[in-house]
Amino acid sequence: MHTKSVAQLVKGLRKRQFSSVEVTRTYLDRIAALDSQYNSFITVDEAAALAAAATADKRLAAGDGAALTGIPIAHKDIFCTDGMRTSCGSRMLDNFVPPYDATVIQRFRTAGAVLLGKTNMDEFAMGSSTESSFYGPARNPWNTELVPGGSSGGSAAAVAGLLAPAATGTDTGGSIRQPAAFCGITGLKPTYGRVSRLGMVAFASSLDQAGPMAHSAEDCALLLNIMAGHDPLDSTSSTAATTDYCATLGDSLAGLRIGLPAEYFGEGLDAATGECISFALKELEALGATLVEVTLPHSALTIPTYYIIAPAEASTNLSRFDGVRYGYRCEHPVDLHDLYTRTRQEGFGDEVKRRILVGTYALSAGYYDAYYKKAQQVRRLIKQDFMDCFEQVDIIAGPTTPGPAFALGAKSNDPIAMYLEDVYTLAVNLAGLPGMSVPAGFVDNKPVGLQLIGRHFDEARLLNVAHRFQQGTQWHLRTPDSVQGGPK
Amino acid sequence: MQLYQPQGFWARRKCDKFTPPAALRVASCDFITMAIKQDDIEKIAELARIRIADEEIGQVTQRITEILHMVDRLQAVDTRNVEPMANPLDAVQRLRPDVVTQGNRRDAFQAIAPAVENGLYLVPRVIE
Repeated sequence: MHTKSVAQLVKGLRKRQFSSVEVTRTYLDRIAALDSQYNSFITVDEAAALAAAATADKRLAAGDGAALTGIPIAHKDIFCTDGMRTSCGSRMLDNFVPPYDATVIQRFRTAGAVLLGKTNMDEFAMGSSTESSFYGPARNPWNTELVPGGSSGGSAAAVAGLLAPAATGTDTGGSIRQPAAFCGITGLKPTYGRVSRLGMVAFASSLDQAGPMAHSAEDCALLLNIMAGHDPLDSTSSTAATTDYCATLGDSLAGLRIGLPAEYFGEGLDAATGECISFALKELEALGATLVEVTLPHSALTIPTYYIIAPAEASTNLSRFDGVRYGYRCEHPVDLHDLYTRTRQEGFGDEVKRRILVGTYALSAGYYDAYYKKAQQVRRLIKQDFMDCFEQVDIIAGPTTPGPAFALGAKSNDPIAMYLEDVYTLAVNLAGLPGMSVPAGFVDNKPVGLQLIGRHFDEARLLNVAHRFQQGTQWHLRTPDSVQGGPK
Repeated sequence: MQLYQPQGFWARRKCDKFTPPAALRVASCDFITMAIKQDDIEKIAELARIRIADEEIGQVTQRITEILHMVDRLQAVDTRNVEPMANPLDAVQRLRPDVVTQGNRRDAFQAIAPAVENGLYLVPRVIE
């Protein structure tokens, strides 16, 4: 049961080969049996999940099933869930039970999906390893001494460990793609504005975007069909038309032009990872695509640009956590100032506080033009690089990360080393483009991810390329040894 | 970590021949944050309403300084005549008719507050 894809589960449920209660029970039992080694979930409500599954079974029996009726889905603990704790990996929201659903959650409920649980993440999605979670680090199912990546590391580990058939994540600078690469699964960050941000705890509002994480491009397409679309309650959500992302999965790649940015294959890329990527590109060439060398000349500036814009927006967004209306409040505040400053000292972890301070500095009087405005200008140059490339090519490809998953603790005390992990993914968020990570091989039994970057709102093309690649390769079907045992 | 050496397939595409344009090769730049002091961090922390313990302030100052130095390389980039980009799609804020669309859910929102009384949020006394 637990090795079936979302597409197979949908078919099986429709044909009544098994029930949603059986499927959901299997995954809940696997979480209970195996998640002590991954720490991929923060909250699981078995009774609520089984009740939702029973409701789904009634709908299916009545021939009233929607697209994902009865499919259990895990959600990153950044999406507000009505009546279920939404911690965002932080002590600040450890006691926060939202009184409403995020639009993403609402859409999955409407589609009939079963909310399996809420997954572990870096605190407020700030990190690349899921080590900054208040609930302890998540671990990589391929080797539990390694990080699963982050910030959506819990979602990636849950899918890779076969504790959920699919999950949601969010990506502000690589937080879907990097953990997908590290855990050997498929993840898609859609175009900025493609998926509603309502009820998704805000980190950097001009960069944040939610997307699907699953074993295959086909499963990601099934989830994106539910997630994508305009939301009048999110004023930055796009009104651009959506499409059926499953409809074009099988299209031919003949004539497809794939751009390879020189900057993504140079200094800093691990040799064995580079070999995996070059083999993957040969596979795409064999499928009819043409490889074209392109250049993204401002690549060297993406990390500094991101580390002004993201902290600046974070410092503004996180000012809402004041100990007054919801979330953590310090004990025995002596006055209002003490209430604010001590609540935020005790409620936030080190990395979150660091970014708030950097952002506050970048936005403070006298420094705004030198930092924030400058970064916004360079951001336009970075976006323009991509627009110039897309004059010549249809998609861009390269590695998702400079190397495979690293050991727990290896970078947790060195913020800048951690920031460098996202060197190939940050620019996609700055430019607002859709990006994917697709399993493309292994280095010492550690998964490698191939990154695909598309034009704005061209998710269907990325999914098409990834699907055709997955029809010719087996990387996405491999499972780690640690998933053995446990309920089937 | 052993670095990737382009060969065969890659060498033909000359990906190894790439050098960044001169403007981006930042050997040294004018660090506008050259001398950030503990005092500055304390001021920022006050603006951000985050208390920092005395024994942590030295380490926090060092970390923030490292990050600000890392981002300082932007200062060397020529951005004359480049319009700042706030939204990646250059979208502007959409307006909607000024009508009530959401019901009043004060009770639900206050049910999760640390302290409320008679429909009001409670905080320590501000005015004696």
